[in-house]
Amino acid sequence: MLDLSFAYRTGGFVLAPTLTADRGLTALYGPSGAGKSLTLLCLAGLLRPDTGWVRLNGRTLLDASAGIHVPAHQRKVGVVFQEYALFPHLTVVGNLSYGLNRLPRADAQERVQAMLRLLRLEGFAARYPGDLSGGQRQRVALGRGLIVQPELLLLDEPLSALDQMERERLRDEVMELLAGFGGTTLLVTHSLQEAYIMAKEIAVIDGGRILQAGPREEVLRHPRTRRVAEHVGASNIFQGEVIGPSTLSWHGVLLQVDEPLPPPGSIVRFCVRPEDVRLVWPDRVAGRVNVVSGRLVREAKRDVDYLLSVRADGGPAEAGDITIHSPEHLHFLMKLQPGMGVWIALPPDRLHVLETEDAER
Amino acid sequence: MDAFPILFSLRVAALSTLFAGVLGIGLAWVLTRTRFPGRSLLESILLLPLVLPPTVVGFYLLLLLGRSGPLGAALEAAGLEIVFTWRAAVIAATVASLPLVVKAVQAAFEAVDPRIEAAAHTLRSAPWVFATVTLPLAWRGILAGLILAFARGLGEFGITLMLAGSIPGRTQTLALAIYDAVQSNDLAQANRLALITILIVAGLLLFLNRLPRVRL
Repeated sequence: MLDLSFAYRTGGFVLAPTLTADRGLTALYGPSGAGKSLTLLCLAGLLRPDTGWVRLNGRTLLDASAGIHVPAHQRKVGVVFQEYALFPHLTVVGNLSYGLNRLPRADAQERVQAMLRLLRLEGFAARYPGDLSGGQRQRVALGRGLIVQPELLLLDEPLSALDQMERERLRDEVMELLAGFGGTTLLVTHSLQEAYIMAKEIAVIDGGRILQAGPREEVLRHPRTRRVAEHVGASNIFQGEVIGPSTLSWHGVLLQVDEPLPPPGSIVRFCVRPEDVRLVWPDRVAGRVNVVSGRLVREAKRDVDYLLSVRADGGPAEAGDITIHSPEHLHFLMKLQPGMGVWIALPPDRLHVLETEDAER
Repeated sequence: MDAFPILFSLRVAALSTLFAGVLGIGLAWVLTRTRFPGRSLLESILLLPLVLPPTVVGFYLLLLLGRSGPLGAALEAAGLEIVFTWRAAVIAATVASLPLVVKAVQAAFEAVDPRIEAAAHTLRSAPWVFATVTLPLAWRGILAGLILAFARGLGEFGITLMLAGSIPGRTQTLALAIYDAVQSNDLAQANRLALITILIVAGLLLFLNRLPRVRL
């Protein structure tokens, strides 16, 4: 278990993350410049935070007030750097065994052999990183981090050095190799898709702070604030007024919400994910709740679906357009075209009320 | 032909390369990997011998290391005579070549990917990282600096003349012997010595250019 709360100042940027991560894989997800890699360098012991503490399975790695800062190589923290940072002048075996210098020679050799088997690199033991494929380099980098049997493994954008074709294959490979790792893994990524597929927990970071952390479904379905909602792709963010125990008025359109609502009269922000908004056939509108009529104002083809923008009828322009992900076949069957009238449903169990952000108070 | 200037110069250049190499690598590491107030001042001072007239550098070294100089008196009390001995020639060549080593090694250290060093730091202690990652990755630049230092030490003239004099058979280097030969109108001797110098330095540069690049 990793437990951290520290502050690190560099230039005008303040990195001040607070996070608890259990065994298993946690994604540290955020845009570039959010402080992801800095967090990783602080945890690895390569940067020294100004204040705060880091604990790993009960061991104190950092306690600024007590002057404790365990050197990087004594932390039992393995790091897989962006673009791998393999030692170009050492062979695969040299890279893998680099951190095993305190082990008796025979034990180190045994571990290296076992790791080569695990990485399926037995035939490449004497190769140099320059002669390996991207996937093989990645395996060596992972192996180099895992072979020292760390309690915490840090992965900095492990897939960013690869092209789209390789990315999915190697993502599965990373997952496979990590399946046998019993410690805590922190995956730094700017790809929500990568975070979602690889991690069971997601921590959203921006501006040097962890905005929200928790199980991935929780973070995606119930972002705490507008900022988190924007980061996790809950891109339909609207403002409404509470008018009943479970009813919102969105510029005159009444919406049922399953979640508990603040008292009537409150102005709230709420969100709904584009893939949760349903297109409804005109003859099936009757009897459904939260059906809104509108006009299709934009459409854009994506790889497997369409991105639609619908403007609700009667609502003012500032209400905002509703973005929908719609499957290709439905788009085809409904003969959708920009300008035509459509019915959409906003499922009550998918409408989520956002907290007011500190900055907005 | 008297072989003393050739052998003496080779010995002086070898020793000064050793000293400038060790000092220069250490100073280059300090300049590239640490931040402290006065760093750029130190860097400027280190580069002074490159831009100052050698006689100026030699003059102040003479004051410092001479018998009545603060350092020279102490060394002489310890039984180490400097001025007008072979040691002075080595010091002169070391001072002249140190900036070249510092500059070359600094560039070589800066070219080492900091992420590779960071990765090493997560696995081993700092001195090991320096010895097993930083040095091997910078070796080509370091070697280039050492070869430049050797060539510079071989050709040192001004500082050597000020500090070691030009005593035939004792402190007369190749460069000084050539000057001496020209002064005494022995152009054939000057020509021989000059050609030998060219051969040595050209050979070194050829070797430098044929070094394999590190595999990346």
